[in-house]
Amino acid sequence: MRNKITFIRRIIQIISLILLVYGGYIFRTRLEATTGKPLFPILKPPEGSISTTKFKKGSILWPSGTNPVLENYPPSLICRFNPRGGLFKACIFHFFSENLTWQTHIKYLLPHLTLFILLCFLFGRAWCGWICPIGSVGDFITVIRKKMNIPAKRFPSGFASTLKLTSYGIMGITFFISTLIGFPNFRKFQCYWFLPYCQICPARLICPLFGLVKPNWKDFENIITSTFTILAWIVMIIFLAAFYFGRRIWCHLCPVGLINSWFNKGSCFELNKKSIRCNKCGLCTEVCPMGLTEMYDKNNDGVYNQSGCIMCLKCIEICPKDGCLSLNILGKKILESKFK
Amino acid sequence: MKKILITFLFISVYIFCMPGERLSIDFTYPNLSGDFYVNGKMSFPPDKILSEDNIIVSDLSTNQEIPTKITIIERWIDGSVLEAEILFPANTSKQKKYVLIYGKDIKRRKKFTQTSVLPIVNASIGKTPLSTESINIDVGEMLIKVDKSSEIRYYWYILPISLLLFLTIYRTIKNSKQYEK
Repeated sequence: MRNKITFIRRIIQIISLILLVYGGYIFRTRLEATTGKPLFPILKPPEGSISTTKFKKGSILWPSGTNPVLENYPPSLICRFNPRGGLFKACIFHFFSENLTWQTHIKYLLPHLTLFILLCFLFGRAWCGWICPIGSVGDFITVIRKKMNIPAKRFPSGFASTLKLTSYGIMGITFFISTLIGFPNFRKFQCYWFLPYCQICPARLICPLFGLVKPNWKDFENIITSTFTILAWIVMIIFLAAFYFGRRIWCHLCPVGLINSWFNKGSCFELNKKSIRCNKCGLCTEVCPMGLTEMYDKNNDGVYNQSGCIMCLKCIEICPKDGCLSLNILGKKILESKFK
Repeated sequence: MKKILITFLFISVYIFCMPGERLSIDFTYPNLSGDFYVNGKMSFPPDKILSEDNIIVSDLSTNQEIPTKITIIERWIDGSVLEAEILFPANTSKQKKYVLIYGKDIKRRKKFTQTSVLPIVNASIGKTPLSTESINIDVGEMLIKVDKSSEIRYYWYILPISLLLFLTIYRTIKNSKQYEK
């Protein structure tokens, strides 16, 4: 089983990347011709409010893309600024940020939220490990590092918690700004403060590259856009460094991953451990791209879906003991570790 | 528990695969409630109107013009309007009839340029001529049939959301207990 799971995961990552990035380009015309109308409510800005379509070319929020196939928001970091029109519209963080500003009525959000919660309930953070295109890009960087025989850096045990706390901070600030600029007295700030996190998100710079389009990487129109441009560069450097030096360290900081992590422990996918079979070799901790140690530290039987676990299943793949670690779906065993 | 869950998943998948809007071409919109926009394309004979301002939509009961957003799609060879896209707001509070009036002497006064966050009903207004030789234009009174049902079309989603959140929390607590003991 060694490397087999990783191989399947890589294949799924590539297929997901193609679908999420080029899905709109491939299927849009055909789907529109079949249905003629959207399956979900199309969320549009109210009168006097701003949307990405209002930004001019060259501006940091100029949407270089075309319309997506589904006006939905999956639990994966797929970007609105995708030049080919992806399978989905944008990530869930974009959804919250945008609609807080537009003050969209909750009834129009409910169908989108239902789909999002269903996907989270079904797959938990497996979205991060198997589907997310930005995670796939990160894994590709990790592969390059491995080819260059550079070992991954080990970070202190509290580092992941600090990153998670930072992620909560980013989320709080983003939602606060997004809500504030939705009020009539603050609408004049929308042209610069709209989608504050998207302006600095690495996906905004990476996704256009998939479509061979130059991303809007510089906008020095005024002090605010200049600040966002510089912040975007800094975050991009952090993103590349995080994947290069520390495997999936970025995923601790990702706000979309943070939202997914709330559902991880209750999702249909369960990572089980039978402690009696564990020989404390520590290989599971060694291979974990998120640097999680609970699987090794704890001696209890049970479900080990920690909030940080991206379900890459490398621990099951590497575990040398028969049936020590297993993947269950709603209690039914699908996969287990085997002696090699 | 598992059977309930699987049944629920099947139902959810089925619901998500269903089309969200049910609109027939004669403006019957049985499941919509509240404000919405009617959007449709309309064809005109040659040399009848020159610009989008020569078209108005008015409420037949009050005879008042209603705000419209009109975009010209195609013109006849003489420059007059062949086809235009018309968008106007409607409400399901009561059944209403709208009339579309056009002509060179008509002057549109009420316009809107930006749409609010409302569902858009895409419908065909009139018929598009196949060619300049065979023009069959069906214009005049438009009837919008609506019912006064509650907004169950949107609010029923609270049920699966609650169920999913309940299941997630239940499973989280169950798994945490196993993990902590």
